[in-house]
Parts: sequence; C-alpha cells; structure tokens
Amino acid sequence: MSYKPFEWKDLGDISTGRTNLGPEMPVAVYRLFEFTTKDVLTRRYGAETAKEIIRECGFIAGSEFYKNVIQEDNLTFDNFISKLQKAILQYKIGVLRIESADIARKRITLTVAEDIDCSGLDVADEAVCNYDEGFIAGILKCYTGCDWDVLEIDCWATGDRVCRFKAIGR
Amino acid sequence: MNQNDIKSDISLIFDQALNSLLVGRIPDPVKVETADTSVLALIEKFNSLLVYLKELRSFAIALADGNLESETPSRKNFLASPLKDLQSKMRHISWQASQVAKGDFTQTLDFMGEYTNSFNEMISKVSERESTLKSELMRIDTERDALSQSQHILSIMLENIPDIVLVIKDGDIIFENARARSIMLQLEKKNSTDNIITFITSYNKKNLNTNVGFDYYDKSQKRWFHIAHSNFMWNDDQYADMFVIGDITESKKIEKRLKKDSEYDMLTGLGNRKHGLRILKEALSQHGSYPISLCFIDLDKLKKVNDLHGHAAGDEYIKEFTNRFVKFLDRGKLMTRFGGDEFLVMMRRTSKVVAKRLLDTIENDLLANPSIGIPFTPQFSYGLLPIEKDNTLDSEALIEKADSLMYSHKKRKKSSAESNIDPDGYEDDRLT
Repeated sequence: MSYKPFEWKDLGDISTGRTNLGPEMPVAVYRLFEFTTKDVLTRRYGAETAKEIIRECGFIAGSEFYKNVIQEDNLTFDNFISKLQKAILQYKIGVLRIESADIARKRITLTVAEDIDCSGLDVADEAVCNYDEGFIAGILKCYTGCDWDVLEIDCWATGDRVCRFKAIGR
Repeated sequence: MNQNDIKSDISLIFDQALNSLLVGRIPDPVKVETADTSVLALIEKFNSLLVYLKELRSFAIALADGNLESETPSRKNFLASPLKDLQSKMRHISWQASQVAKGDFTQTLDFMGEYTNSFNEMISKVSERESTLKSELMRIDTERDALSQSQHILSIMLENIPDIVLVIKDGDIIFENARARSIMLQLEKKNSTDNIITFITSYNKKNLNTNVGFDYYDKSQKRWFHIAHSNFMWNDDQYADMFVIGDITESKKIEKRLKKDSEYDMLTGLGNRKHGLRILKEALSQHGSYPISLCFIDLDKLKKVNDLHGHAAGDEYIKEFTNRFVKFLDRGKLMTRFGGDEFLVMMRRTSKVVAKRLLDTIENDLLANPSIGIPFTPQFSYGLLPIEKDNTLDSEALIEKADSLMYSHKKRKKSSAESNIDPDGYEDDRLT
C-alpha cells in the first residue's frame, strides 16, 4: 500500500456516515484512542520518541485545521486570533484565550481551558499536551509562514486548571 | 529530655505555628533538633505547606495589586492552581482590553461567568458606537472634501474673475481678490485718495446691513463701476460686507450709444418722437417763469417728391429741410422728427412772438435761397403753441393742440394758393 499524506478530506463525509449519531462523540472515546496510542508508542519507541510522534501528528492536524477551517484571504492577525478562538470553541477542543501576543516579535502566550486532551486528568509529573503543542505550531506555521516552537508550561496534568502554552517563532 | 517532654515541646511548636497561621501570618519553618523519623517527616511536610502558603499569599497579593506578570508559585504548589487560573483569565481580559483599545472588536470572552456577558456587551456597544462614528466620519469627510473642492473652485473663481471683490469688516478689508489687489496697487502708485476703493471703505462705514446694487463713477480712473453690496454672517455671530465691483465703463458707453440710437432719427440726426416727448415732458416738469413755445411742423410736398422722384429723393428733401431749419436754432431750441414729414420744435425761453419771428425768418430763407439738387425747395406749415406757466395740459394734449394749429395753418396756405391749382392734383400734402 503506497503512502499518501493525510488530507482533511480523508476525514470522510461524517454527516452522511453518521446520519443518526451525528459528528460528535464523548471525550472519553477520543482520549481512549489518544492514550492507548500513546501507550503503544511509548512502549515501542520510548517516551521522548512517542512525544515527538504525537507532536508531529498534532502539527499535521493543526495545518489541515488551519487550511480548512481558518484560512481566508487578507486575514489580519487580530481577525486570525478571533477566528481561531471561535473555531477552537466550535470544535470543542477547549477554550482558547490569549494572554499576550506580539506578532512582530513572534511571541504569543495562550491558554486552553477545558482542554480536550488533559482537563480532569490526575496530577502527574509532566505536561501531557504534546498533541496540542504540535497542533498550535501547525496553525501558526500556516498563518505566519515561519516555524514556531510551542511549549506547554502549565498543564492540568501538572496540577493547574488551565493549559498554558508559550509560542516563539523562529 | 524524655520522649514525653520532646512530644510536649513539638506540640507547643506546632501550636504556635498554627496559631500564627490562624491570624494570617506565615510562621517561620518549624525546626527541631531531635525527634523520631515520623515526626521529622511530618515537620518536613508542614514546612513544605508553609512554603506553599507563603507563595500563595505573595501571589495573591500580586494579583490583588494587578501585577499579572508576577512569578507564579512552583509547579508542585497545587493549592495555587485556582489563582494561576485567575491570573490566566485576568491576563486574557487585559489582552482583550488592549485589543479593543486598538480597535479590534472581533474578540469575545467565553465561559468567564459574569465577565463574559458584561464584557461582550461592552464590546458590542463600543463596536456599534464605532461603526456609527465611522459612518459619521465618512459623511463628514465626504462633506469636507466637497466643501474643500467648492472652496478651491470659489477661490479660483474669485482670483480670476475680472470683478473686484472686497470683504470688509469693521472698516478693515479682510479679503481682496487678485483684481482688487491690482487696482489698489495702481491707485497707491497714483497716490489717489478719491477712488473706488476709498469710496467703498467709507461707504461701508455708513451703510451697514444693506444689500444693494448701484453704479459709481470713479473720477480718478475715469471709469464706471457697478457695486453689488451684500451683508453676510461671518464667524457665526458677526457680520461682514462683501462688495463685488464690476467695471461697467464699456457697458455704459454701449448703453449711451443704444439710448442715442433709440431716441434719434438716423436720417436727419435729429431726435425722434420718443426723444421729443421725453424732452417736452422734462421741460414741462421744470417749467419756470420763462416762456416755452411749441411748434408742430409739417413738411410740404413730401408725398409728391416721393411719388414723382422716389424715396431716396424724398429722404434728400427731408435732410435739406432739417439741415436748413436747424441752422436757425440756437441754445434752448430743439427740433425733433416726430413722424415721416412731421417735426416738433421746442423753444425754451422763447415767447410766441419771438418764435413766430424765427419761423418767418426760416421760411423766408428757404424761399430766398432755392435748394440745389432736389426737385423742390422745402416749404413747411406749422402750428405754434405758447405753453403758459399755468399750463395744465400734458405733453400729448399740447402736441395735439399744436398739430391742430398746424393743420389750420396749412388750410390757410391752401386757400391763399387756390388760384394756383397744382396740375398733379396734390391739394393738401398732409392729407395725401
């Protein structure tokens, strides 16, 4: 079977396929898929490699999300942020809030409350939203055209009530 | 110290530390020199709690002070997570506010309790207000552009029209156009003090709040000007006067020529009926103690000349008559052509006797000196009417009366010449 990069249309026609159940599902199902995948990846490739893979997955997802949900011509940064906040909310990924944004210096601090990946998890030793890190980096890369390093500095999994990300453009 | 004493001391230390906490003061870490392992572990946890509480307190104070950039408690300080959440939300609100401040009204707050509704409503109102203001500004900009364009056009018009334009307020010229500046410069070089500009400034002092138009003759420049004066509101609560002054010298000349053309007979160069009537009316209105004689004249045999020799000969006949007649008219006597062969002669300061003598002289001159180049030497009939000081008749009635006298005169002339019937049957020139 030949390799074909993921595209948004590969998600299929959900409204046709789930006529009765609809496009949504419990967060638990999402997390089942995510954490079991992470489990297997960690066992097979080690924790760091597993995180890198998950971050890369998030990056691809973020890029496709931007191209298919956010992108439009002549989108100002303010309108981009506004549109992104609404989209993140609409897709129930979480509640995106900007704490600071200096696009000229490529410095953004944002939080995601009620994050789909981690909100409600038991406290652990480290932040777990690697998928989100990649997801945000993918979106920012598509909008700005440059690469971004996105690091989760607070996480529900580390005892905080929101996930805080610091994004720095290269 | 036995174990009981040690326990008693530790209890006392904890009691003091807890009492401090209960009154809002973070105590120093608990220190004991000797204790069993479990007690030491307890003390270590208690001291960690004190550290967390201390972090929590200073973080809360910083937030209360509005310091959103203060150092956050350590990651292990789980007690601080609600405050960190609060800090995050406050920073988000702060960022939203800065976005609004720079005009980005696309932002909204989500899931932040009472803040959400009030903040989003505020954004909505501010956005609405800004939209209204922008529309208003656009309207003002459009009007300003139109006004600016109008001003530009007006300015060009004012600078380029040949008229002098002056705006005067309280006797001072506050605006003059290029033409005005040019005239003022010329007058300044001539050192003229009696001119259109000085007239306008002195006129303005005496005639406020009027809107009139009138003609003025500038003796220094020997030019006629028409002055249009209008009073208008200046700076909302004060009035100023605008004068638009056009040089109408050429118009005056044309007017004079037209007037002459309309009141003068092209053939003879005499005044016509309109001129005769106007002069007669003026004479009547200014009638003093001096006598006026009015003479209605009919040129004999004009029809005969026209019929036998053509109208060109008739014209020459008329011209010969009037040329010879007017030679005898001095100052105060005026001959006008009233109709084809009818003339009106008005003689001021001339009695009937003197007038009769003059007419006889002219008649005799015509008879004694036959004309050359025309078929007949001109002869005339006349009606002489003295206009008395107490005259009540108007000009039309006086002319009618003089005409009647002329007709009688003609009849008398006809009777006296009865024996010499004209072979062509022209018995009465006037009737034919």
